[in-house]
Parts: sequence; structure tokens; C-alpha cells
Amino acid sequence: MRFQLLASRGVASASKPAKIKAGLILSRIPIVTPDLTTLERQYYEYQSELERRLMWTFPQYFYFRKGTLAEKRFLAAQKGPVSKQPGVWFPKGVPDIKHNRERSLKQEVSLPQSSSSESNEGVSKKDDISRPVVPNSRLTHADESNDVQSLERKLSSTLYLLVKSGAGKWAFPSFPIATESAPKQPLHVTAELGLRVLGGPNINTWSVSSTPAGVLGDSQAAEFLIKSHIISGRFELQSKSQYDEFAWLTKNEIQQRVDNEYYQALSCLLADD
Amino acid sequence: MLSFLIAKRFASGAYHGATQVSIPKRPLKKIKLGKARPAIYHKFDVQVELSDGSVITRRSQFPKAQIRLIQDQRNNPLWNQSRDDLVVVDANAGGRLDKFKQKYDSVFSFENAPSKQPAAEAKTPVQEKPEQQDDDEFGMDDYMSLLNDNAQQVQSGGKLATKKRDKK
Amino acid sequence: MISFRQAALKPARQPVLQFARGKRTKTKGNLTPAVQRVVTQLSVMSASRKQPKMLKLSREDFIKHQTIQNCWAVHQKELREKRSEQLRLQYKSTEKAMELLAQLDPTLFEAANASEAGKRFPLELKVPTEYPPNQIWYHNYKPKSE
Repeated sequence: MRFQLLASRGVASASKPAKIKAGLILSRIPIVTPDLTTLERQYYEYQSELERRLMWTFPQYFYFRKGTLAEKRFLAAQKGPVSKQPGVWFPKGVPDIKHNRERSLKQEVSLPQSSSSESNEGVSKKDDISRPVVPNSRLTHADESNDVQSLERKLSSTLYLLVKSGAGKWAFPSFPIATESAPKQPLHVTAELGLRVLGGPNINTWSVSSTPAGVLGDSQAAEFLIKSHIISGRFELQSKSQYDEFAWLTKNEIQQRVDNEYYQALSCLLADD
Repeated sequence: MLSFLIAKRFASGAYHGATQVSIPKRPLKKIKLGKARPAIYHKFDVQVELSDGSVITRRSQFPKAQIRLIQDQRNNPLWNQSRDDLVVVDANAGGRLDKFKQKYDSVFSFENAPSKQPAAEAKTPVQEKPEQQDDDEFGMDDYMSLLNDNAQQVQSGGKLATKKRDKK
Repeated sequence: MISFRQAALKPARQPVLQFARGKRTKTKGNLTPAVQRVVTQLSVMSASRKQPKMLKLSREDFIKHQTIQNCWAVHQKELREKRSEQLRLQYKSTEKAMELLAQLDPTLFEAANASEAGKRFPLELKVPTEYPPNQIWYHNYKPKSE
């Protein structure tokens, strides 16, 4: 049995030395959460309103001690509910108030603005630890200028590295297996080393597995695809390489640039967002 | 010996945490069948700014709309091994833990642990207590090796904590 | 001597009532501060006097609510099926690749099939946040020479 296997191996390698390539699907994982669809946004809003309606009354006496300045500030910021009056008609039902909360509605607690927000004229804004939180924009400069070579574009979706060959075809980068060296290097090592040669050494990646995620081509010339993530660093296309151009693209953009056949073979390996 | 230790422990009264407070008894409110409702505490939406400037929104019972973290995963060297531009902030500088570290840091540091380890110096009392030798064999270095990147899970067969039914 | 004794007795005969504004006349039992603190802490966790009214939906509102929930369930089901379908395709793709690799080059197949026990997820890949950090990407990475 063992002998037969060896013999068949020898025959296979002797008769037709197949061209094996290691392809690399290098991805940048999303940096911000995915954009919500209209349905998702509306459903989350509905659920959060339901929960607010069912929340218990805020135990203000626990968080603000009686007679303190913080309590005074908090109470001043509140807009109290409408209380029950004798001889008055309430069109939306008679108020039922307990602990300063209308029991049939959600409780709206407005927190007082922090005092530091007014007193930061002299302090440099960057170093002030109590400056108000101002979130950064989810759209970046790279999005505005549509810079496809930047890693800072489309923060909410997964980006993939694609390169353009001399023939003008976009594809994932692929590297031939070195057949001369006596111990053949595994596919993922070939792919990683090839990436360093193609894009410079200053790149930090993590290969998901040494097992290929997919294959293109047939038994004559096969390209095995290895998945990897870029962690930090930059991809700079070296001058003397077989590719002309590179781009970081989302799945939709990949569909627009590559052949339909190529895309159909790979689409299951790519993340939608 | 053991009873003496226990007696000593209780005599010193080391634990002062709980003082007996008797709350006046109140009649229990009966919840009828099917009338129980879940506890939904009042929660505020809080914008939490992480140390690198990214913002997440979460819910909290504490009445505060914005929280800024100054030391977290985003600027910890362990989670950012490839970065050289990090400004390491220690939020607890000057605290109790810092004082403890100043005192005993040599014991827990990775590099010069073997040279200054108290276990290495304390070889003379081994003769007095030979039964402690077994414990010392699994030393500090063995724990360090567990933290290594290429540590592998022990995948030996055999019986591991099989569940047994109570005899009843 | 007598006059002194009379002076000393005088306030006892005419007790002076002192009125304090806002002083509680009805006391809820005389609780010590320690007990009062415990009662306050317990009341934070108890539902009494804090629970809002039950949600009573009209028939129309109830149907609306059910429609929304059904819609969401369908949406989730679609997502779930899409995901499991993609996973199935990915598995098939890997299987196909490995079969071809075993046929073409057994040494590479051995290397690709080697056990990867103990391989860990990199700590530096972060969970997505709602808004991006100040420095979005770290470009100046230099490989550390070992």
C-alpha cells in the first residue's frame, strides 16, 4: 500500500509537473460597526422605546444624597410630570404619579450638563480629561477622495487586497511555489513571503490557517487561496513586480472589477460587509 | 493546631465587613401566579470613549451620559505588540497596587526572576520541611511557560471529571 | 434659698413648645441611620412604587406589535440561512481545494493538513466600535528583528 502510494506519487510528479500557485486573500477587518439597514434601525428604536416604557423609576435618592449640590443640580434639570388636580379634565387619562414619575409613560430623566464644559476656555482642549466626548466621523478623508489605496476607507466593511496585472486584469495576488528548493515550503508560507516581496517588509499579517480556503483552476494549473488578515503596517507595491496597481476593495467593488466567472468562484469566501 | 489557628483567626476579628443589621419586618407581598414581571432597572445611554478616541454606546444604571477611559485595551502594550508609538498611561499610579509592585516587583518580573527569586535563596529551610519540596518543583518558570504563545493544550485521553448521578 | 428653688422649678411648670418648620410629625418607625441606609439600598432593587403600569395594548396595537415581531423573525431567519449557506459553501470550497492538493502535491497537502493546535487569535485585531479612533490605522509598523 505504502509502496503503491509512493509509486503513484512518483508517476504523478514525473509525468506532468503541475503548476501550483499560492493565492492570498488579504483582508482588513471592519473598524466600525456595520451600518444598520432601515429595518434594523427602526426595529432597534421600537424595542428601545418599549424598554424605556417598562423601565422602573430612576431611584434618584440612591445616586444623589439629600441636601447635596449634585442633587440640587439634578432636580433643577428635571421637568416634572403633570400632577392630578381636582376638577380638571385630563384628556390622556388621569395622572398616576409615584416617585415623581407618570406611571403610564416612560420616564424622561435629563442629566445636568457637566460644569466643566463651560469652564474650559483656558485649558487646551486635547489634554483636558473632562472635555465632552465628541465622536469622530464614520466617513474618512479616504472616503471623500475615494482613495482606493488607503486602508482607512469604508471603515464599516471588510476590505480585500486586489492587484492589477500587466494585462489589465484585477485579481487576488498569487505567487508560484518555488519548485527548486528541496523542502517545499507550505502554501501559507509561500503566500506570506510573496506578500513581503510584493508589498514591502513593513506589514504585519496573520494567516488564518495553513489550509487553503479555496482553489481556482484545474489539475494543470491550480491556485490555492490562503486567507490572511492585515493587522498593521502598509502595503506599498514594489517597483519591480509583475503587477501595476493595487487597491483595497469591498465585495461589491470586487464584483465590478473582476470577471464574472472569477467572482462566482470566490464570492462565498468573501464577507458581505 | 488547626483549631488553634481558627481560634486565633476569629479572636483577631479580621473580617469587619458585615455588621448585623436587623431590618424591621414587613408583610410579604404576594405575587399571584402569572403576575410576576421582570426587573427592568432604569438605564441611561452612556457614550464611552476609549483611550484611542473610539466611541461606543452602552447602557448603564449610573446617571452619567459620558465616560472617558484613560487606560484600557487600546493602549495596553500587551494588546498592541506591534505598536511603538503608544503612551503608556497608568491610571492607578500611586495607588495601593503601585506601592505593592514597587516593593515586590522583582518577584513577578519575567526577566530577572530566576536571579532574585526568593525560592532560590530559601533553600536552607528545605531540610527542615522536606514535605514542601514537592510544591517547589512546579516553580515560577512553569507558570511562565503556560503564558507563552506556543503553549499547547494538553490533549491526553483519559477520564476527565465525569459526571456522576447522585445515589438516591 | 427659697427663691432659688422657685426659679429652678419654673421651667418645669411651663413647658415651652418649639415649632420647627418641615419637621416630620409622622415617623416611619424610628430607624437608625445604619438601618435606614440598608433600607434605601434594598429599595433600589425592589419593584415597589417603582414599577410602571402594565402595557395594555389595544387590539390594533397588538396586531401591529405582532407584525413587527414576525417581520424581525423573518429577517433574522433570512440572515441565518444566508450565513449557514455561506458556511456550507466555504466548507465545500476548502474540501475541494484539499482534494485537489492531495492529488497534485502530497507534500504540500501534508503541510496544509498539519495540526494547528495552540494557534491563537491575534490580540491586536480589535472589536469594531461605533465611531472610529483618532488614529485609524497604524502605518509605521516595523518588523521586530529577533
